[in-house]
Amino acid sequence: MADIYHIYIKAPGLASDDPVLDKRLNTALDWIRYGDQCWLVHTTSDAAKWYQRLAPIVKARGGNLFIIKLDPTKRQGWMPKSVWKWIKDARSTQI
Amino acid sequence: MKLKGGIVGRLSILGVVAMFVLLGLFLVGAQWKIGEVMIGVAIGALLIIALAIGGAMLWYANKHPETALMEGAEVLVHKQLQITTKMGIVDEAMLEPSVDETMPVIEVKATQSDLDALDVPKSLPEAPANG
Repeated sequence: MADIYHIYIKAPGLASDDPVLDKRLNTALDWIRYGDQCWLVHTTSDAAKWYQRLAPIVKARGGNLFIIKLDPTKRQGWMPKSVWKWIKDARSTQI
Repeated sequence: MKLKGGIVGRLSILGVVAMFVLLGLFLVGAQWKIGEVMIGVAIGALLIIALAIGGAMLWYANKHPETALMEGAEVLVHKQLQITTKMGIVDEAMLEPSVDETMPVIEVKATQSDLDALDVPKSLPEAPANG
């Protein structure tokens, strides 16, 4: 069963499009970065697994990491259409 | 630090030019001692313009710090980079903000008292008498 998680990463010296970060995030089924430091991740892994994947990158730089499972059935907002489309596509490809 | 691009960069250049004009007016006024009133008025006008430009720059840089020094195309790339998926950067057309049309439409028409109303905690179930 795949879920959607919100991941916030703040790490000094780590760009949002850093290849090291992309490599870890690409282990997910899909992801979208909707802000400088915010991702939605469609994944079959749980929060603990994502912490294992990302914590070494963040802790080495003295940054912050926040991972939380979302309930995408309860959503509202004013966001780029691509974000809504991504959520819709992710929900339609539940595994 | 170079401030070449974006609205703040352009206004900075304008401000520097205005300062040179101001300096030129001082020199002209000191050398020929003519039209002192007019030069004074011009200096005053330039000072007002410089202050207005400075204020506008500070306001914009404070409100949009990440795009203050970017040109139009750079702002678009910045937005595209912010919205990126595993498959790559999304189309420009998909950057336009909107509500999620697949969810119930919420009309934003709350009154101030609605906005100020505090959450009411849900009552917890009674604990068993012996527990």
